[in-house]
Amino acid sequence: MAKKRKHRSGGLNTNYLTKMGARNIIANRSMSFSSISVLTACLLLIGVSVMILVNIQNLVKDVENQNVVVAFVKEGISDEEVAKVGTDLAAIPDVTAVEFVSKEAGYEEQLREFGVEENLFDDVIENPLPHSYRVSVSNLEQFQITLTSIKAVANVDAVRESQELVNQISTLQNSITAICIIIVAVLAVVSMFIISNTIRITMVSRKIDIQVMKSVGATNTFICWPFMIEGVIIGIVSGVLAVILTFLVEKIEGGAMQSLLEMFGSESISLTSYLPLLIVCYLFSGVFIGAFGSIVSISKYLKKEGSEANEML
Amino acid sequence: MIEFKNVSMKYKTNGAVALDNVSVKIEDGEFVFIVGASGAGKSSFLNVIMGQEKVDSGIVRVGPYNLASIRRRALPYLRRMLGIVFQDFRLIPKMTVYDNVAFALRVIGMGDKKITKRVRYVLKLVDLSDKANNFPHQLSQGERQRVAIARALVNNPAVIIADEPTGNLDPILSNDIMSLFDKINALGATVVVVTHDLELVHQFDHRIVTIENGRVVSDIPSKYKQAEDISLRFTAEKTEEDTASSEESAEKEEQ
Repeated sequence: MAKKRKHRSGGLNTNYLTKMGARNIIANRSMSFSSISVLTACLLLIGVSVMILVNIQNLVKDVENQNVVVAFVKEGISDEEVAKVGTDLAAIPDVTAVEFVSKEAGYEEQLREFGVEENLFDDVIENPLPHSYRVSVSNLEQFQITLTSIKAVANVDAVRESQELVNQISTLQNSITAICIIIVAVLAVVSMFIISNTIRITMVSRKIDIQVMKSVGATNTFICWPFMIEGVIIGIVSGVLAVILTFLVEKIEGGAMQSLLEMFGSESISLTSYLPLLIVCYLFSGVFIGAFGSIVSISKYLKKEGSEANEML
Repeated sequence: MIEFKNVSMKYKTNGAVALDNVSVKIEDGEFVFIVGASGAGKSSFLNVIMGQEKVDSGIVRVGPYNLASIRRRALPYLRRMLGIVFQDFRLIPKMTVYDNVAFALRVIGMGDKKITKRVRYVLKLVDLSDKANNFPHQLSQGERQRVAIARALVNNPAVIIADEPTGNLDPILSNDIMSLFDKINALGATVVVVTHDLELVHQFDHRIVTIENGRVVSDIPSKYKQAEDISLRFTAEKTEEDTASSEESAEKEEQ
């Protein structure tokens, strides 16, 4: 009687299996093409969402960096008291910088902003501005609380702020972040579903091959490997295509984005500054979606013990 | 060795009886025809041997494996002991003859050099050395079946199982294929051929197991085996007689 063979595969010939996976892509051109198209489109949409998100975050940062709040100091107080106002303001949480603006400097600045020569009104009116502090606030979500704290500082007479703008930008940032996350998640799931179905269709179309593999004693790992390689290659190709297309999108639509951001006094971030991150994201997402989609469909198919996958005779 | 002991099984799809209390023992090196009409239970018999279907009751042993308790993970290793030949050949169309045969060795992770040596040997055995680079569609039906047999053989399995291997072939080719199985059997492999072609079966002198409605209705040993059994029985009887007569004469001498 033959001796029971130990459960050994004799080592998987990974080179051969990888070649098989690559060959399958060419052999099933139309299926591979549709998978690559769908995955590229999904990755591109994910990339564009990220691009918008990055720029919106930059815009919010710019607004944050602007001195959103100007705190005017009461008139007629001593220099020490004026300095203490600065110290008290700096001690407030979420205040990142406090800059003193003397009443003279503030007046000159105002005149410059109005495009008036500095000495034109010298003899007509007295400088009406008090000393002030420009206060930089970091967290716009906590803006209202920070503003109340600034107003509460002793010897602060009044504050000037653009709270409406801050609120709008903060809301816009939150909404866009949420939308982008939802889009990315939905697209990732959709891509995985499509890849998984494509691989499944491929597997069904290669039913005979799989039956032959099983009949000659192929393990599930041996059967799965080429399909997984197929998914990974589809993911990589889609990732590369998505990078190229993102460049094109930036070239075509980048101007519109720039004009939009300029309205808020910000600039769009150049794609090249976060390109390595984008490439890594694209390739990682592509490979992950491709491989995971394949694994899901293969395991579903092979689990059908006693069904079409297993009907040898 | 393949052994079925009181095996019963129902089709999962409609609950009809596929095998009904089947008991058959196939020894190593035997050549057995399993015959019966369509739907008699022949394919179920093979499916059970290949670990495709689990039986409802009874014991099934194939080599060292007890198929009643075999784990799914062990199935590929059971199948490596078996060389399976299908009626429709099941060749992979995008692979050459060489690759189709080599495929069975790649599955078990054999190195390329050994694969080349082994594939050349079996292609020579089935007389297809000159067709190694052809694709299945470039071959005749008989040649395709020989490729399928080469693929089943290449892994040097203990048992060759053929399901209606001549179903798609004309009588002359069928004869050739059966002769090839004979040759393989002579090399030491156990051969189990399922067929409904009784005319062909009777041209060869091998054991015939007939299945009807899932039951084994007859199990006829080969004529050679019958003769061997008769000769053994005769020898045994003669030995008994000799012993008895020598005992008798010894008693007489004592008296």
